[in-house]
Amino acid sequence: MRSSMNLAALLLVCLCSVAPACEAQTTHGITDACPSQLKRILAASAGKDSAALEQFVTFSQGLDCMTTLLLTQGSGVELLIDHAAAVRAALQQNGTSTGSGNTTNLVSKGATAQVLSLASEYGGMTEATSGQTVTLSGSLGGVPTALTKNGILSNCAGINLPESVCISNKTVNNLNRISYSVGFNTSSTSQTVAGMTTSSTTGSTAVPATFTASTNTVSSATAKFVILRGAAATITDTVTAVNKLGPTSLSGVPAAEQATALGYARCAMNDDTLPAVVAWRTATVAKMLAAGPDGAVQAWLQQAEALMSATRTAPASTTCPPADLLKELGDYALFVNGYKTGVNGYVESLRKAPLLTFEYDLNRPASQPTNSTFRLVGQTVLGGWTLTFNGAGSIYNSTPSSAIPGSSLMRDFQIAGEASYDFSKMKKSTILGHSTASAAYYLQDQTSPAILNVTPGQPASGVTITGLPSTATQVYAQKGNIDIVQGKFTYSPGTSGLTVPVSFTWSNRTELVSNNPLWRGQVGISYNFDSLFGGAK
Amino acid sequence: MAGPCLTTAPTLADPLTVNAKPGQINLKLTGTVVFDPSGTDVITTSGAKVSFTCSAQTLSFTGVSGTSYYVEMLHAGTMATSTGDLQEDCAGAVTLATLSPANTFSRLLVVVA
Repeated sequence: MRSSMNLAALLLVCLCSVAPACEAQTTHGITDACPSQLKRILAASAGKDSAALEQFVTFSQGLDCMTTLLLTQGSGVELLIDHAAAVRAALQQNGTSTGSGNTTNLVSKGATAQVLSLASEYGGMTEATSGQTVTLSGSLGGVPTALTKNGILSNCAGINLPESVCISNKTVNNLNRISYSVGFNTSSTSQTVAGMTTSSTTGSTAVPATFTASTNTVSSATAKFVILRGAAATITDTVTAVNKLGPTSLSGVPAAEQATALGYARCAMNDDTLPAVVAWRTATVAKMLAAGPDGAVQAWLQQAEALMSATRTAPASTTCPPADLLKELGDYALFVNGYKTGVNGYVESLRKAPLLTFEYDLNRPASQPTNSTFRLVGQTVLGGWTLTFNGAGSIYNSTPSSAIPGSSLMRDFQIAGEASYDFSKMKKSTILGHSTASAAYYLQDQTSPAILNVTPGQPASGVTITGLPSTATQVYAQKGNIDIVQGKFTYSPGTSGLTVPVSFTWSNRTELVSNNPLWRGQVGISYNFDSLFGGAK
Repeated sequence: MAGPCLTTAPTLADPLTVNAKPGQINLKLTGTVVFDPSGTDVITTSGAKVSFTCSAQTLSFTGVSGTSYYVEMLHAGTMATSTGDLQEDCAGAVTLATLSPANTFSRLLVVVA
């Protein structure tokens, strides 16, 4: 157990080093949720007894704090050994060490790689495959979220597990401001090898040659940092969203897992009527009041051992068979941490779109020099209108050949703007339902010509070049401005699930083909079958 | 307009029990806390399921004389420090329970006399 927890602590340190405001502290080995709540109750009653204080020390109204208190006991550590063993097994399944005789790993994985692998398995990042391209994407907050949902870390707003460290929702939310996406080209032609003879010896059956390899395994990589986040959801927004959600859990915790945890909770709540627990409650309230607001938390913590003694007198009942209460509360604590993490994700999903984002793109297009694009994306919403602006600069990752006239490290500048209107935001509903209309403009000022890498006898795929000298390794196009204008209407009536996008695009040229304006029209159709079967749930 | 209250606040001596008169009991949640309908339930103390309606901040059921009900609430806050008061939706309502980060899942006993 200690090794897995140390691993989690190591990862937390790594994550905290990049988080703008990382909080991973606990007080007295517990999260701050219960001490804060106790202080709030005493402040509201001016340090006197109240129904809220009496409820705080019951399983029925203060279950999380009663669980927290019981788990501070040394024996509480033993309760989670089964869980720790499962976590350790999961870590070990992600690759054995090199040299162990039955491994496929050439190099031993580091601890972080193991945790990332675990995060991938448990949902910390997503993997998508399209054709020959595999894309890994996620946000930095995805890793601690996955670890918390699986009990390796605790949630600082929840119940601290024995020997665990907690990570706050605030830290996760800050980490989620950084997202990434990496595209891998998995095709068999992701690496091409070209050879050129180095001798003109004729009549020989063996000719020396030099070979060059072009590897293009990583086709693209993107990193984004949200500089200015959109406004957090108001309670009105949240209430509206929850009402639309219906009986589906806000947290994403599987229904069976939730039902089991709540079943354990109900059994613990039955202990409130035990004479020993009632007596403990009376004594604990008296001690907290005697200690005053400043000493109440310490007085409450000192009652942990007495609470454990009181609960061990619990008799079996028909609805709650004999069981280890602390073991069950340990499972409830795991649920609470996962639940609070899931709810935080749900509430964050209701946040308005980011106002300002910095984006870095590493582009490795086939048959072209690699380049990097640095982009600022701004967005604002005004009523039904969404206005988006982009400004970007792109550089080649290596200085182009001086043989290309007008070339420089600076590849191009880009600006773009889009105005989009959501018809569902109109005061009166219309037949347009959730349809949207948008107009966009994009300008790319090519400060260097577009360059294609070629090899003699094997030009770029899809491009036919005539008169190419046998010594040429690059060809270039005429530089200039690229203007693109697009108008788009997406018809999406009501809740039918039908969506029909129609768009028209005009451009004055493409990267390679100049002096050739291009018109293009596109029509699509999609249908969300969830809307058809939603009523059957 | 909200009608007269059917419930009375829990006492220090019995902090988990709400005494109520028979009729439609409409509960509401104030503050920045919402019910999670997936884990919110109303059952009699003998374990029978009771018909009820639940939205993000309201819960309603009909209390029958001589029956006691467990109102079980799974709830979530929009912030780590969110709290909310559970009250009956009536004129001059009193707080029946406080829902906070310290009680993700809580239970109240409503005794209808």
